[in-house]
Amino acid sequence: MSRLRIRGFCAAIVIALIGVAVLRVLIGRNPLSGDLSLAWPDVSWRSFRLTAMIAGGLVGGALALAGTLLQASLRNPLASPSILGVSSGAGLGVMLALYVSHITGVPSPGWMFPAVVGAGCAVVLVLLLGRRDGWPDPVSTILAGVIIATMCGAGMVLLQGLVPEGLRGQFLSWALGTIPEVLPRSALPVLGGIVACGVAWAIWFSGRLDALLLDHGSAVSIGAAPGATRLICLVLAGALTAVTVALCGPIGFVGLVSPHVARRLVGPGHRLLVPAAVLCGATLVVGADVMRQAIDLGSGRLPVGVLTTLVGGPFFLWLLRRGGRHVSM
Amino acid sequence: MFRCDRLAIRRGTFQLGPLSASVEAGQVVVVIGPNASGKSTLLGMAAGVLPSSEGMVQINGQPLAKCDLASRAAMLAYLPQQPARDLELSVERLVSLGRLRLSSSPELIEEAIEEFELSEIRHRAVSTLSAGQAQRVHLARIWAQRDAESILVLDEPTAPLDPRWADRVWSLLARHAQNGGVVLVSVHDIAVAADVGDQAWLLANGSLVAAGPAGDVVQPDRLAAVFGAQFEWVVRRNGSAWLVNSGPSAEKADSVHSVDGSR
Repeated sequence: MSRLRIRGFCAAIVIALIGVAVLRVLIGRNPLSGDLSLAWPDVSWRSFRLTAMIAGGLVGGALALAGTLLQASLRNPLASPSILGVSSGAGLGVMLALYVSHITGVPSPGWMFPAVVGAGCAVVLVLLLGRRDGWPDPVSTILAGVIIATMCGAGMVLLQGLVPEGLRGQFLSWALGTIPEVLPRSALPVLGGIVACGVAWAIWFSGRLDALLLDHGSAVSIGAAPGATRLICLVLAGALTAVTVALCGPIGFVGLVSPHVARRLVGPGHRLLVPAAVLCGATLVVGADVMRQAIDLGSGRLPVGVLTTLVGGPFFLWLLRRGGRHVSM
Repeated sequence: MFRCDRLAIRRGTFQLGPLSASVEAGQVVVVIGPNASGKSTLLGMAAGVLPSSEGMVQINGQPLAKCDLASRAAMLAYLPQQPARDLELSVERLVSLGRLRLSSSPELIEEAIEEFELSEIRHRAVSTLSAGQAQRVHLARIWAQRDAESILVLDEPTAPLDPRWADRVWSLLARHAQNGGVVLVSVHDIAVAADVGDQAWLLANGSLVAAGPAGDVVQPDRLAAVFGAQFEWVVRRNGSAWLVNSGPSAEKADSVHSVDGSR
């Protein structure tokens, strides 16, 4: 792929991201009349829209980075943040907190704390169960992730039957993912810091990430330390996903689709793939949030996770049909 | 000097070793033996890719396991029996990965690409290449990684290659050894092993049956006992001796001219 073409694609992604970011700030809907407007918001709305725009960009970038790291470290083009059981673990944590709050009468600690604890426990369990010779093994890790995710899913269903309908509704709407317009003061700097560190690490060690695609013997021989690199990738992907799930709930398909789109645009080398995937993920989530603002169902807004899945799913299938070779590593 | 010191591993019911052997610089060592005798396992342990349950590998008296990653990459390059082929990475990128932990050297990468005639396909994804082309790319990656004294550990490097490229690779490996390097290579073709090896290690059921000069180890009677097949020396038209497998019984020997096991 020529450098000129790659630069053109990168410029197109950046322009697309700026475009959807500006739209996210401009687009609004009057809560009383339901009318759609496209104008610079007044002071009372500005901080909400800017928060949602920045949060959407960071969450999309974080999920895309997590997906890129997972696809490289697990040598599996279908790997995505959900494969580590993080989303299900976070969901079980939230559901457990709601249930305990319901039966004890103690106020729930909110969504974030139980989501982070649940996600963290799931990641640690998957990493422990997926080890072989002391280091994460791709196949064992995927199997462990699928099993942990399924068990957490079963736990969530069980607890949903034990809480009142109102709490169940709140949980279901969280479980589909929503970009918040109000966040604790420290949330965005924390997420931004993790994403920035993750991107910097992934670009700095892009050679090692490329080497992870090789067989184990060749990777060891060239000094790529595949075991340690894989562990760092999984921990980083787990942390990125845990924080995003705690902030927004699970948002599907971003971590799966973004690396594939970026791979088509800039090729498989991680030095360019990582920043391109992060930009694609940010564009996808902010764009989906813009669409969410624009679509009025009459009875409340769509969760953004529904849109990313509805758009991302068919797009991924199109990629798969158009060129199966490209939906690989 | 490259030395395997009481290397051993147990995998299920299979036990390899403990075995000890050493190689001096400037030699090509062929590792031969029947299927499942432990050739690939031995090479994996020798390259430090497969952890041994006991023993150690030493390079110039220094345990390989205690070397840092960059030193290891500089001292030893390894090609597995089935290197990854389903890679979207370009040929050029894969070759350049040989220098991942070493000083960046565009000249060495270019030399490797030229040596293995990959210039015309340098921008193609490895997954689009034939098995033979992909093997040449991996060999070029090894070539870019090595320096003059490197130890090359190669598991059946010529298996997917056509005769012209197989000959070319054996010449390159011989040249590397002549320049002070070491080549430790497994090969199934006994005639080739006898032809290219300075030393030979003969494995059977996880044990090192014989190790020494290739001319001493690669002998029909010894091979017959290990492989359960007959081997004989034949004289080619150019006068050189060539070891051939004359089949499971000695009856076919009538059709070839025996030189009584001597070369």
